[in-house]
Formats: sequence, C-alpha cells, structure tokens
Amino acid sequence: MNKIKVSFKVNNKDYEIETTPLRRLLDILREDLKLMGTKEGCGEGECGACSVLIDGELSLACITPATQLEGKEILTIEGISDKDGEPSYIQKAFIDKGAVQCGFCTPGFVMATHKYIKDGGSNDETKIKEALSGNFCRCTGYAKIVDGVKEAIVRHNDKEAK
Amino acid sequence: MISVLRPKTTKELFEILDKEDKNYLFLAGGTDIMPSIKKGIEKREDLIDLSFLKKGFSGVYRDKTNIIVKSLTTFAKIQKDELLNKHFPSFIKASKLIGGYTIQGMATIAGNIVNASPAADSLPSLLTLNAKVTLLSSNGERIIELKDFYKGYKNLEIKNNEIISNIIIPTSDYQADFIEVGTRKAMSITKVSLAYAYKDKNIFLSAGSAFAYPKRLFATEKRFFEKDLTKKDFEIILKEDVSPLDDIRSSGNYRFNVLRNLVFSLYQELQK
Amino acid sequence: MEKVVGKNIERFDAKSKVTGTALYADDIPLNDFLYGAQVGSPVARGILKAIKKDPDFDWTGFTFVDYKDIPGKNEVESVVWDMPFLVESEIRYHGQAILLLAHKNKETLEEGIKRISFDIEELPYVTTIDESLSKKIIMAREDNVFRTKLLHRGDLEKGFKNADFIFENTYYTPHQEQAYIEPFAMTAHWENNKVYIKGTMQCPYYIHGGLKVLFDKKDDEVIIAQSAVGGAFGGKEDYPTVISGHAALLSLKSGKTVKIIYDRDLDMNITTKRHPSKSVVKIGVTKSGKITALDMDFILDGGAYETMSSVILARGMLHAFGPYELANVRINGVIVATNTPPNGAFRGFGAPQSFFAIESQIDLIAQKLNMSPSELRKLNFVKKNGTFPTGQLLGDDVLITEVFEQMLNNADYENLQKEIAEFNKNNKTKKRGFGFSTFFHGAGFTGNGEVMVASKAGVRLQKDGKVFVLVANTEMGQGAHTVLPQIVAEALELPMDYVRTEKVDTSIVPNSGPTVASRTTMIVGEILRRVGKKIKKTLNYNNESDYLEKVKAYLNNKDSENFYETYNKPPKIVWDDENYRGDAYGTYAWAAYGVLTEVDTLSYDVKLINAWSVFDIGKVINPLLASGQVEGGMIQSFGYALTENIVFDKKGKYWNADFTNYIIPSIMDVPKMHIDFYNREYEFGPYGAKGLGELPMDGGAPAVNNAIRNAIGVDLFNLPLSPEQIMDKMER
Repeated sequence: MNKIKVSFKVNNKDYEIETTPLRRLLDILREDLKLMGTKEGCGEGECGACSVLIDGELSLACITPATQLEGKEILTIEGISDKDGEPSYIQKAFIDKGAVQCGFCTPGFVMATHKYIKDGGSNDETKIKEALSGNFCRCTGYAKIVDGVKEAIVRHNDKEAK
Repeated sequence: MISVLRPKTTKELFEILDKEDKNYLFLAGGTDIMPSIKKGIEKREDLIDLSFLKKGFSGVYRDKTNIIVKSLTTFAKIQKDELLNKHFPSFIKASKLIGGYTIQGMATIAGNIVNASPAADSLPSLLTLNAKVTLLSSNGERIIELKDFYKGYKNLEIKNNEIISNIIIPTSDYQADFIEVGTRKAMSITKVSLAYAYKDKNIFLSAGSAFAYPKRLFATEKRFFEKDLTKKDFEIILKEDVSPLDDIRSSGNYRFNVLRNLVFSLYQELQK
Repeated sequence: MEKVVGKNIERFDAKSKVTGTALYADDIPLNDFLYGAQVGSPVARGILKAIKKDPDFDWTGFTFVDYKDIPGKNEVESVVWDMPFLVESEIRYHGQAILLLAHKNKETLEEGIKRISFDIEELPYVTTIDESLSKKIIMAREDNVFRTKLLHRGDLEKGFKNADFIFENTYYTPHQEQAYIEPFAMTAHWENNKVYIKGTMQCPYYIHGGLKVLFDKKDDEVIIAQSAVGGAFGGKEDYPTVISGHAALLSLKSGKTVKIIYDRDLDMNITTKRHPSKSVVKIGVTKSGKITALDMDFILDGGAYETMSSVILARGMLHAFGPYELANVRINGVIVATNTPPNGAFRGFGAPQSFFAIESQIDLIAQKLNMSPSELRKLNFVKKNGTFPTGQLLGDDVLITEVFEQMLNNADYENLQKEIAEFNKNNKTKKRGFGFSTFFHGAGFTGNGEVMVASKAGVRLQKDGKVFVLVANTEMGQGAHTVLPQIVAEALELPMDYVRTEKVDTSIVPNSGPTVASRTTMIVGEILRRVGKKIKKTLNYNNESDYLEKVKAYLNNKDSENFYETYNKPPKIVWDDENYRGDAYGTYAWAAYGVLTEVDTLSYDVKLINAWSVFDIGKVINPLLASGQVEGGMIQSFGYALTENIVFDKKGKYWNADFTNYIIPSIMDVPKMHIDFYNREYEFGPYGAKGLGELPMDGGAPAVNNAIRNAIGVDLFNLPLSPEQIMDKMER
C-alpha cells in the first residue's frame, strides 16, 4: 500500500505521521501514540469499545482509516479525565452508580455519554439509550450505565447552574 | 495491492475518474467498506477517499418543491435536521435504525444508497417518498428516480465517472411510515421492513430484505385499494413483487409471512 | 452490626477503568516482542498429511512451532486430558490449531498465515447431538459417547403408575457464546528456564498445571500472572491453558517474548462455548397437580474432546429436577462428541440448559391441567427440611417458596394479570403475557470438589499496617477484589483503607482454587474471614491506633508476615460420586424470576417489558456490586432466551462468529428490571454470604418461554425463542 502523511490533533496535541492510508485509527492511537484506553472489542464497528470523537462526532476508531484523519480533531478517553488524571464528573458518576464492571467497554460508554451531554442531552431514558445504542456491554445489563449517565447529567446541570 | 487516491477538490476527483474507466471504490463513512475489506468480502483495490470533499457535499437545503440532502451528509446530521424532521418523519425513523448511534455519526446517505444492500434501512423509506438522485460527472448532472437506480443485485444505474451529489426528496402531503423488524433493537440488521406513503387512493410501498435489490412493490400498490382482499390474496399478490431469501439471519419464509402480515394489517387499517 | 460488609464500597479498580488506564493484556508495554498466531484446520474433520509453506513467500524472521516442538506432553490438562495443544494427525474441528507462527510485524504475520496450507484427508463430520447419537458417523471413542451418569431415586415405574397424566416433551438449547468484550490476549516469555505468562484469565493455577505438563516443569518453574480482565463468564476458565501453551511454545523456540491476540472472529470460532443440550422430559402428575415421577434424558454436546464436560454434565443433572420434592426420579446424563470446538464453562455450567427444560415443562403441564402455574409450583416445591433426589436432606434454609412469593408480590401478580387481560382485549396485534421460573444454584464445587481442591488463602500483614489479600481468585468484572478485602476488613475490624488485594501471580499467591462455580465469596471469603479473625486474636488490639502499634511490635524486625488458612468442610456434608447420592452442594442459593413480555403477532417479535427477580444469596456483602452482577446475568439469560445462537456453514465452521450476526442484547433490548434480595444469613458463609455469580443465568430462558406461552398460548421447545419459531407455531 502507498504511504501517506497525515496531520491531526489528538486530545489537543498535534501529530503528523506517515502510514498506509487504510491503517486504522485504533492502531495509530494504540501502537504509535501509546494511548491504550481505546479498546478493540470486535474490529468491525459493532461493539463501540473503540468509540472516540472525531470533530465532535462519535466515531469508531476500528473502522476509521488514516486517510480520513487529515486536519481532524480527535478526542479519546485520555482526553476526558480532569487535568490531574482524576476522573471527570461523568467518570465519577459512572463509578458512583456502579456502571463499571470488567471495564473493557467503559471508555466507549464514557465517550458516548460525553457526546450526549455535550449536545445538551436530556434525562429522558429513551434518548439516553439511543445515544448509547452503538455500545455493547456484557457485564452490567446496561441498567447501571443508564443510572450513571443520568447522574452525570444532574452533576453537569449543577455545574452549569453555578 | 490496495491504493487510495485522495482528491482535494471536485475537479481533482473528476480528473481521476475521467482518466481511466475504472470501477473505483469510494470511501465515504467507511462503516461498510472497512469491515468488508477486512473480511475479504470487498475485493476492489482502487479506492478514492472522499473525506476532503465532505464539507462541500454535506448539508440539507430546500427549493420550491423539494428537500435536498447532499450526498455525504451523515445520518446523525440527518436526524438533527429540522426540515427533514418536519417533512419526512418516516425517513428520520428509518435513519435511527441504521446501526447504532456510533455508526450513524459516520455513515453517509449516499453510502447507504450505493451499497445497495437489500437490508439498507434508509432505502425503502426514500423509495416510497419518490426520492431522486443527482448523478454528477465532469459532463454535468443527470437526475434519476431512485426506483430506476437499482437494476439488479448490486447493479446500479451509475457510470464509473459519476458520483452521487444530491438526494432530492419531493415534499408532499402523503402520510408515510416505516416499520422495521430486525435481529435486535439496535446495531441490528433488518430481517424485513416495510415503508409506505399514501394519500386517498394512492399508495407507494417498498420493502427491505425482500428482494435482491431495493424496489417498490408495484403489483401490490396497484391492487391495494381493491375491496375485500384477504390475507391469502396478499400472499398471492406479494409473490409478484418479492422473493425473500434464507440467510444467516432469518428464513425467506419468515420474511415473506411478516411482510404479508404488515401489508395486510395496513390494508385493514386503511379500509376503515 | 457490620461496619464494612453490607456497604457499597467503591471498586478498587473503578478509577483506572473509567479513565482508560487499567492495563488489559493487550495494553501492557512490551519491548522486543513477537506477535504469535495459530494456523488452524480448514476442515472440521480429517487426517493431517502435510504442512506446506508457500515457497514464493519470504519467511525470514518467522518462528514455526508444531507438535514436535513440545518438550513435555501434548495434552491439555483438564478433568480428562484428551485434547492436544497442537494437531499431530487427527483433526476433530474446524480451526483446530495445527501450526503456530510468530513474527515481529503484525501485518507480515497475517500474510504468513495466508501462505500456509495443509494436505488433509477429509472425513465426514457431525455437528449436532442428534447426528452424533445416530452413530452414522463415529468420530470419537467407540460410539461418540464421552460419558454417561445416572441419578436415581425411588421407584419410577410406580411413580408413573400413580400418575393420572404423563407429559413427555423434548427440549433443545444451542451453543451460547460468552461474548466477553475483551477477546483473548496472552503474553509469554522465558527466563532462566522458567516460563512467565501474563494475560486475560480466570484461573491462573489451571494454566500453571497445564504448562507444567506441556513443558515437563516443576511448580516454581511456571509463573502465571493475571492482567486486567475484560469479562470472562466462564469463557476464560479452561481455554487460557491452550493459548498460554501456544504463546509459551513460540517464546521458547524464538527466545523472545510472544504476544498472542485473538481477533473477535477467531475468538468466537475456536474458544469454548456453552454446551448445546437435548432434554427429553417425561413427567407423571396427578389430577390435582402433584408430580409422581420425573424421567429425563439430559444430553450435552461436549464438542470434539471431553475435557471438562463431565463436571458440567454433573451440575446440569444436579439442577435438572428443579426446586421440587420428587419421590421418583431418574436423570440419565450423556455427553456426546461432535466435530465442533470443545465446549466448556459458561456461567450456570449446565444448569441453564436443564432448568430451561424442567421449568418450561412444569408450566406446560399447568396449562394442560388448567391449573395456575404458580399453584402447581407451590404444591410441588421442596419444603424446609425436605429431600432432594440425591437423597440430600436439606435444612431449614430452603427458601424457594419465600423468594417466589416475594417475586409475585413485587410484581403485584394479581393486578398484573388484570392489566394484561385488559391490554390484550384492547390490542389486536400485540399480546402480553407474564411468565416465571423458580430455580436454585448449588454454591461452590459439586460434591467433593472443595475438599479435593483444598483451597488455601491468606493475607500479608505489613509493618505499616497495610493488609494484602493473597488469593488466586481473579477480578474479571464481578468485583471479587473489592468484596474479598471487605470481608477481611470486617474481620480485622478495620476501615477499608487498610486492605487491598495483592496482584494475582502464582509466584506470590497461594492456590485458593479457581474463580468459578459461584465459590469465590462464599468459600474463599470464609477462609479469609478466618484469617482476619486469627490476626485479630493474635494481635489482640482494641482500636486502629492500638492496631498499628501492635503490628509493629508483632513484626519486630520483619517487614511483613503472611497468614494463611485452608478450606474447612462444613460438618455433615457427604457425597458419593459413584452412586450420585448425598450432599451435592453444601448449600443452595434460591431465586425466582417473573417476566412481562409483549408478542407482536405481525412480526412474531418478543419484547421484554418488565422483569422481576428475587434472589436468596445469604448476606449481600456489597449491594451495588451484587445488584449490578445480577442485572448483567439476567440480561445474559434473556439473550440466551431470545436471540443467541450459533449456526454452522457448510464446512462445519461457525457461520456467525461476529457481533453483527451473533446477537447479544443491546441497550435498546433490555426490560425494566426490578431486583430484590431475600436476606437470610448462611451459617457457613462469611458474614452469612452465599454464592451469586451463576444463579442469575439459570432462570431467564424458561421465564421468557412461559411468558410467551401465557401471551399467545404456544408451547416452544427450542432456544432461542426466535420469531421464526413462533411464526411456525402460529401459522400452523
């Protein structure tokens, strides 16, 4: 495969890499940038464990090729935590509501929740589920994840009110 | 050997397309192509990445009689669009059933159209709304009815030097809806679906996963307002339109019976 | 009053998991390593004649391993050691490992796999229980039968003679994939003739044993360590021995660290699944609904090798009679062989299969007798101090009636029935129904298992007062590494901050047994409670500051000291494995499910609206973790009920080995869940706790089946309860 140069931002940091055009963003994040928080669950865009934000849209790193990254701003789970590496309000809400078990799907769910709240998502349970509908979890049965999202929205609104 | 061309402008794109008569694989959202390449289902090796053209080919606007969706608009954008929500709630409903929210943020409407999967969720709805597609080449535009766009299994009315630029949906006062029966409620592949749009004694029908390619159910449309049709009658009529297959997800028999049930139930509803 | 136990203590690993910093096997930084992979058989059955490497391909930098490279035995240690690590001649399933490859570049390795081919004499194969039973093709042992077992009580003939009606039906269940979200990943390296393994696993000492056999090594020459585990559900119980063996063989030959990662396709294609089953259930019953006899053939598909299937058969049989007092019983267990990857552990371990059969059949009988299914159950429930068909005398902690009543009460059963009738009257195409299941799960190993394992667990007490729990039991999402320290902190009468779990590494922790069989909290937790109490007694402190001083004084010059205890069998437990008599389990956890479904009569689709459950798991150590685990188990059991199924292609390969076509529940598929616990402390569990892990998997399928029956009056006998199957019944 021909090689290409692509420039993009990950968590506000600039990168330029040379790679093959169909190399997956997931491999670039994990192998080149050593950002291991984005996970491979299925490798075919089904499970959502590799969810990241690209230019603000929820996207799957396992089916995003390098060629499509030019000029893009990518946000991964490593860019979600507070500056000191402490959990953000969404991540704290997930902990407090028991939304985490094996944790392998968790970064993906946190990204989907971040996107939902960023877009002004409400506490409506159906809307929350739609926003998380591309992410699979096999441990929790989803109930506590929905609780976690609801709690995060409450905390977000409290923060905004202040 | 896979090669990926990356045109920065429409001009560059058409230069590539005009240079050689080749069946290029266009990389738009990538949600279907990337897994297909990985699994060896997609064997074409000459790709054109459209991501640099996304800005120019994304968005929704209206003219006097139509809502126009630009080809690389994602389904997430479509779902949020006010015009589409106002005029075509059945299409919005269908777009929410494409994969899950992660897929909807990446997948584009033109991608769904050219993929031409019998199970593609946006197509039955667009067919019943009498959508058209604009095909753009260096020679200019031509507009073709979506119902004429599909000629056989993955056989499309599009030339190697053309791309889809717009999807044109005429506004109308027809009542429309879309019913999907899938393998699960999200990240699902459609086992069978029915889209319809009607007004007075006119109806447009289309079904997903019922035939080798997306199509309207013309025979059924024609007889739909006859009096006293039975479930059995629809079984006979529908056989002229569809012939669903057995596959990994379901049986042809199931698909057919469910479609018959859905059509007959609609018939009973509209007879009232 | 407990201070730590019963509290929602935060998971020790919560922060690292939400921030993405937890290190799963594929996340661990490695220097100078090779990627390893297997090349598997392209046919389901055959005789291997030759391995061919494409002469036009550049093989520089590749390491190759076949069976001849094995220093010890080419046998995977299990209950029966009949499976090889690598094919020698006979191939028994599609994808079975023949050759191992390693290379430093992932893409080159993938290309190399494609350039290997095999000369194989293909043989006809079988993929189903019925094909295997027909014996038209014999592919294992003399008769395709791996094992038979018999459980017998009373006089079957007399029982059926006393019956007014006899109902016989056959139930089938398919493979179920664990579908942990993290696929298999394992690394191996050698140092001074010792082999080191790290990766995703449930039972490090299983791998430890397996690699000793494979490499002919001693205890201290094999070191197994666990990384963070992204879900397991039994799927990482037995298979890790195989992938660890493969990685270690490649590492030995190449002299480099080797990492093997399975992609989803390979993971689903070749690793263990839940055993498919066939149950022929014959029940005799009087006019008034009293069961007089149960005769059941319970047949499991073991796959290509027997491995640990016999213990799964045992558990399936020992739950097959349901929570009923039955005087005349015969349960005939069989494991047959098929040309499919060996089936193995999956949450529930045989019980979900047999409960589907018995609990569906009980409901069917109620309907035929025109009796309420709740009345029929209550009439036959085993009572306090009753007897199970093994002859086991149960104590006064038989709680099936209680949990069932509590579930019906929570669901407001009487009103619910009225609401359903009203809904169905007003809806032409949607029909609702309520169904339930009543079940139990034996906690800990079957029979003499715990005595044979003789688990040892302990803690390391440090000079600074910190206490590290030393167990081989793994954290795989269920919360064990939070719950076990909770128990220790309670026993030490110290705040949680003092106690945490040491990393699981066989060079550091004792063999406290595998993390299976709903045993970790109840069995290992109790050993740890005793350890804690021993330290408390030894140090004899009054409060926290006193503790810190006494620790220093006690340890004197030492940095730390380890304290251990081993498993104590509760009194009066006696099991005769030969005759299947006696106390099959030390105790049982009891539960009841109720499910409200809605069937769409146009699409035959089944939607779950509400699900109620009541569990008796003794004392709940950490309610947030327990309810989370229970909710996950319920949804997993509903997936088993409605959509999960493996289908085969024409080559005898799993056709739907991906998340697109193997249908696990999405967030849009889950009903509203109403979870409740019945709090009664168990005498021999830590602070009264019993096992929990598997129980929620057992009841979903029959409850959904019974709810569908209640909604539309059809009797279904096969999982999954698919719309296609419902259509076939309704079209008739």
